[in-house]
Amino acid sequence: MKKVDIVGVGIICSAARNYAELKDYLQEEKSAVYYESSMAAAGALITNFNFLDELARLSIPPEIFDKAKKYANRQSLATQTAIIAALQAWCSAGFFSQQPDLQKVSLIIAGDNFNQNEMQSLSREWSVNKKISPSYAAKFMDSNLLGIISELLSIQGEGFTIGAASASGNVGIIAGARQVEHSYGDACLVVAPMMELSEIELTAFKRLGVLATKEELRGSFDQHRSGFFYGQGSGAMVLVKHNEGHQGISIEGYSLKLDGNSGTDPSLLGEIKVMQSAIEDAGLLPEEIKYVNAHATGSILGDEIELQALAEVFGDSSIDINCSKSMLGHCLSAAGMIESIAVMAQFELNFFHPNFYLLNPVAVANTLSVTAKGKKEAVLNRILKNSFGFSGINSCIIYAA
Amino acid sequence: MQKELVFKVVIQKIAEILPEVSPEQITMQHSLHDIGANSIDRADIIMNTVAEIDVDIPMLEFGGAKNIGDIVELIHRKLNEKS
Repeated sequence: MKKVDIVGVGIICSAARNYAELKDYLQEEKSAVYYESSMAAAGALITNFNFLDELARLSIPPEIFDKAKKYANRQSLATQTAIIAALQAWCSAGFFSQQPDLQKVSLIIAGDNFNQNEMQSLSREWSVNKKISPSYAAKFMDSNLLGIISELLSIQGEGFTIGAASASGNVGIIAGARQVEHSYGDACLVVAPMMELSEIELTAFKRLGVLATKEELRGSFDQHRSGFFYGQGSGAMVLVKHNEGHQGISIEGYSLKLDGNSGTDPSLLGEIKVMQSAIEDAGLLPEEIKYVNAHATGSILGDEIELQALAEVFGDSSIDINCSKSMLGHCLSAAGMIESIAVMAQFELNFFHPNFYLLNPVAVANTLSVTAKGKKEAVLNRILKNSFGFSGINSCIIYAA
Repeated sequence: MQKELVFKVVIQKIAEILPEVSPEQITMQHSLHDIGANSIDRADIIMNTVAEIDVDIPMLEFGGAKNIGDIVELIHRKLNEKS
């Protein structure tokens, strides 16, 4: 049963500067991932982003334009792209023309530690000349973005940041869905800023053996995959309680569960449990779901465990599986949001995108189909979206058209 | 250092923090709040000015400053005490 409707969406990523561009990009069937020699790893990076150009493309009141310009000054790429994504979502929800009761709008920032690149450069400066601005006392906290967006849009309901490693995007959407489902707010704006890594985090991911560093790209579900492609993207959604007249995409069910594991390894049982519990929450049976947008980072063990979990959950019923990370990179804390927006686009375009850089697919149970080439025209009625994170965090959302 | 020079540094720091404000419109009578600085912007403007002029004044001492003129006055006085 539909619980929550998505009424606004915004995105800035490597492939697109807004939702309409993302839909065009999806139809072209190409991947934004490439081997980036400057970081000696594969990635899908945001290049040539200009805040004022993106701001100028929005139909927003002049006073919002001026405020946004002011707040974005001296902010990181993560913060600036998140502001644009939030404004796009607010615009597409029609909230500038038909203003909601701002006392009853909630705001959630999905993701934490997303400004690492800026933090590291400030640290370098500090170690050289002990220079630091007073504003750092507010800026080092992720809630700085909560303050900026709430002031920009005059949001005065509940608000907080929520961190769940690479599951943060999905978990933010789940928290937002709960806000409106249980009437803590009439609407909830969920914003997932891109995770802007510095050389230090990139090196740590390489040393952990989870970031793809080979020049020959092999994506998720490929036998020769060697880790994730680092993606950059900020996304936002506006959620409201389900209304029978809603024409777009809705959320039917969700689940969030911990493995009880401080490490980075996936848990087969944890993934099975979270999907089963989301399906139950939606009041569905597994055979009523035919499409899965997987977490599938391209890590050796992670992809394998997720395919096993899917085979277990769906049993004899056949499903199609794709992974948007092969096209948009792994946007880490924003991944669940960026990929959920890719899921929305697929509903609207009536096709299921292929998996890119998939040359030698892994052997899978014969009920599971991992499409390598060609878009699959289909009337999609439901897509199950997985998102998992380090520290044993599992999340699953079921979207319906 | 003359007061005028201190004022010039303040204007320069305002321009860095609040690029939307036209420097020629700022007078000693304006408060930082008047020209659109929030609490964090105010701290950055004042502390960046103090660092540029190379005088050590804690932020707390600026609590009584009602306008830019008071800020300039305080920095100027401390500079003279120093020399």
